[in-house]
Amino acid sequence: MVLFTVIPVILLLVFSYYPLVKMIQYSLTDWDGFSPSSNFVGLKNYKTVFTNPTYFSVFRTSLYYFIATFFQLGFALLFATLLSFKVKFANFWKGVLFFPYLLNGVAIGFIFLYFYKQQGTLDTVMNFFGLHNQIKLWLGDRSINNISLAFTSVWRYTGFNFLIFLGAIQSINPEVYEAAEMDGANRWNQFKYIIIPGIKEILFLNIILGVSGSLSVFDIPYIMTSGSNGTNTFVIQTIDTAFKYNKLGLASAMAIILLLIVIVVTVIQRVATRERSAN
Amino acid sequence: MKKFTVSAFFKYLILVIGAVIAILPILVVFIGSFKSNNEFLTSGVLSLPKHLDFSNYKTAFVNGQMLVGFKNTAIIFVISMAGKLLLGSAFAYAINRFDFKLKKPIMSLFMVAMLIPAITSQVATFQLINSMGLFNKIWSVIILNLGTDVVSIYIFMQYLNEIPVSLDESAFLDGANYFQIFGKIILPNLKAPMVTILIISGVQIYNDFYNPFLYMPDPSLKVISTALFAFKGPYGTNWPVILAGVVIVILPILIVFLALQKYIYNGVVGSVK
Amino acid sequence: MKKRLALLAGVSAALVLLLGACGSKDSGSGSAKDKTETITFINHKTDWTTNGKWKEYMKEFNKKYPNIKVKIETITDYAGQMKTRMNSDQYGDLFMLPDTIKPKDYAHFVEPLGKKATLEKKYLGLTNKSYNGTTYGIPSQLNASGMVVNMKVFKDAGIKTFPKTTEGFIKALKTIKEKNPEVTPLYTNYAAGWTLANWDFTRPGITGDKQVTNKLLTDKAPFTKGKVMYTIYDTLYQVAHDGLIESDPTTSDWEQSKVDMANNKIGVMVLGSWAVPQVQDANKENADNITFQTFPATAKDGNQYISVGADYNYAINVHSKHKAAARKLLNWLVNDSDYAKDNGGLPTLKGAEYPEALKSMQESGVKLIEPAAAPKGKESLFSEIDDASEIGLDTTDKTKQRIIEAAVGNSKESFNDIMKDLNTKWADAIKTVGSN
Repeated sequence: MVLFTVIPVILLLVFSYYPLVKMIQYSLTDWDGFSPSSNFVGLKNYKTVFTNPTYFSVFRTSLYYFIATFFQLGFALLFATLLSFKVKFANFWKGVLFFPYLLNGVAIGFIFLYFYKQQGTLDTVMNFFGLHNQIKLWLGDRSINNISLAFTSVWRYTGFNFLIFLGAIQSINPEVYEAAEMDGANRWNQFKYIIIPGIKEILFLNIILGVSGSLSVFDIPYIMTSGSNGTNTFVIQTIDTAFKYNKLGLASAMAIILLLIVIVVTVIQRVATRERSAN
Repeated sequence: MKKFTVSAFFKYLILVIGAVIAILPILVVFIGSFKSNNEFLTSGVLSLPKHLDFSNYKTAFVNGQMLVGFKNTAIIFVISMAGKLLLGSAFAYAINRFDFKLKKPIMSLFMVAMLIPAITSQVATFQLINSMGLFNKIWSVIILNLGTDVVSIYIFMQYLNEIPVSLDESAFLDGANYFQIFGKIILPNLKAPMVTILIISGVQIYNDFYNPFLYMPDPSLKVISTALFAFKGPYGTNWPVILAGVVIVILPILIVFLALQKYIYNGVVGSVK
Repeated sequence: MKKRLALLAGVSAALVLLLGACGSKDSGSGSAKDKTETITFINHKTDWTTNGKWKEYMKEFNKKYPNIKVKIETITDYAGQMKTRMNSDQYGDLFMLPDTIKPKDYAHFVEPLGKKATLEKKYLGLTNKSYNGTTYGIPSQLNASGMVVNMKVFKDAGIKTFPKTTEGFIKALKTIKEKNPEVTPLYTNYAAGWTLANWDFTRPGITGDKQVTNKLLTDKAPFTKGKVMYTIYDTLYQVAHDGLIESDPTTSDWEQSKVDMANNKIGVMVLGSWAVPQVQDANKENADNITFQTFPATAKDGNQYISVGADYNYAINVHSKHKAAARKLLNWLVNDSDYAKDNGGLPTLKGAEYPEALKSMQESGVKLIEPAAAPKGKESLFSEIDDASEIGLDTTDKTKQRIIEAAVGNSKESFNDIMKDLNTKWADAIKTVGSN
């Protein structure tokens, strides 16, 4: 019977754990990725990440995506609530809202390059509403480009959260609503006292996922701006440091730091969830 | 009753706004993809093309080597999925039905692995793939698809709990060995999670950009994502051709989505439980 | 337990064998028995894939060597993607050596091509890709670094001759902007990134000093007013600040810029001479107006210089299984093909003919200058300091982009802040590299 488990376990060890061990090892050296030898440098790489603004500043970019997560969850919750009540064409709305989630990241990159380009979709729409003096270089202007990119991410992932929330709301026993309606509770009260408590768990889980998600943003900014002009994210910086600047040790330290943050956040979530369900 | 119509108005207003935001960026891509380069430069993004011009699609498909992309994506898809389904179900079967010494540690290995975002270990994975001689081979991406897949194993385990053990036992008494039980009893009962995994991982594999981009730079190993990404260079400003490429990439997903909507919803919801 | 372990070992062995089998299938085809060899040549000339030029070239090559099949791969973001790819050992047989590889590491990546002293008798521009007297790369062509200029745009604004000073240059661009607001006087190609390195390449031409790069190795404040890097970046800053560049640099487009310049919508682009034929190709009727000029500056000795340097070097992958065949292709490209001429550069082969665009400039008194070699044993020093500083002189785009961003008001840094920061970074890098 062990035979059935051997291959998956080997694959797991080789492709998940072995790289991890290797990375911890690299992160303590100044290895460049190809030389036969490298020097042990202790925690110097970790110190560099936290003290050198080039590396540390990428966390600021993550903040945009993290804040965007809340908008994403808000919109998702709004649409999930609306569609959990009786609505005409429910399947149509559901399909339209969810579809972006299924799209290819590269396709999304191009779609939004087209959306934001000069005289592109957004500019056209703003002109239509007479907002032409508000038009900016959506991807060029440093004060707004990260917001443009974060919006792209919201557009892409809202459908996913929406579907999860909808599923959670629909799994609430319909008798509860009926009882509430008989007691004269309006929609807002139903939302506040039935829906929110009913999906608290899953809402919390999604916020946590947002933390790790916002730290590991990669493809949207990579495809759309190649990380230029202040849109560099942690993952892009890590990969450039490793493969373009040949500082594999330093890049490994960055990856380990990212990993630790993700693990800490996840463990907090697990513990909190467990405590709550214990109560 | 009157109050309801006001709230209904807002309800539909919000839904319409949401739908427009979701659709508009994609819709303009469809519109633009039919325009000739000249018409494209002189007309607005929202004005409809004068006539349907499919030449951009031809350029995108032929010069952009989309066919190669579809072929490679299909190969990766078929092999990865077969491997995932087989390995995942067998593994879940062994873990769920049998007791052995290493079961606990193995389980916790998988639990912890769930926490590691694959992208963080790329730095070391790259060295690993290279030292295995898999760089620039289609197997690199396939084996990474198999090697870092924890989710499908979890989905299988959940469903296995629901298959009554008495089924195995009666088959065992009829003289079936473990392989036969697995093949005849377990596998047929795992159709639902298989569909779920097929959809979740399928979409993931179809959309995967990073692994093929990093590990298979050979142009004859282009997948659909990297083929589209390559449009950035030579077609830098030929937007209609790029847009046609985007549509070509979106279309299969759209068709699958329309055909399998219900399964997809269930699959996505099922994957996070 | 033992049984299980044995099983585990067996399965893992099988897995390894399986992987090994997959791995060796493709690479096994190049054994000596095969009459035809297939080699891969990776390069940056995507336009030649699209227009069929590479196919023509290889047809020509196969007339001489019918048994060598060449698979051409072209990459758009060549330096960036190739650098990543060189972390593996699969980067073709013949390829263009990215400039970010440090000379002391050449031996890890590429096959030595011969003694520099011997090869020098036949070829120009070997200094950069040689280390300890051994040559690792041969330039595909030599480039002059300066400005591709559409003279029609200048003449339309009433400017008859190309300016010889930076002040005159900026004034001329302003005149162009005033006379014809539709025209972009100078197009930076900010978004393409690699294009910006051309600003750095002009420094020997501006100073007329062969040692200008070597002097940077010890200069702890090279970005100070009056020094050449300051002059270059100051010019870049001023033109961007005065709105003389494209209105949205971040979405600027390299392919489009060539078309626009050919159609008189752009006045100047800071590039190499190799760009001239590409712009001319975009509009053949206007080809005569596309010229090449040196950076508008006059050296201390009163002469004007233009720096020439090696373009990408052909190099052979040290892991290649077809080194001999790759060398044949390399030699054919350098000795027999029209590669340099077709790309608007000077041929690497000594005594070969110069292209038109440079001949005329030479007649007008601009002297060619080839930067001197790095001091012996210090061939890597420049790129090491450059890497450590992360300024990306001659290589990456970050610093030049940063200057443009500050100039157009996207960031709040002043020009002097940036220069001060660059000086600090450069000085620190000299210290760190020196202490290693």
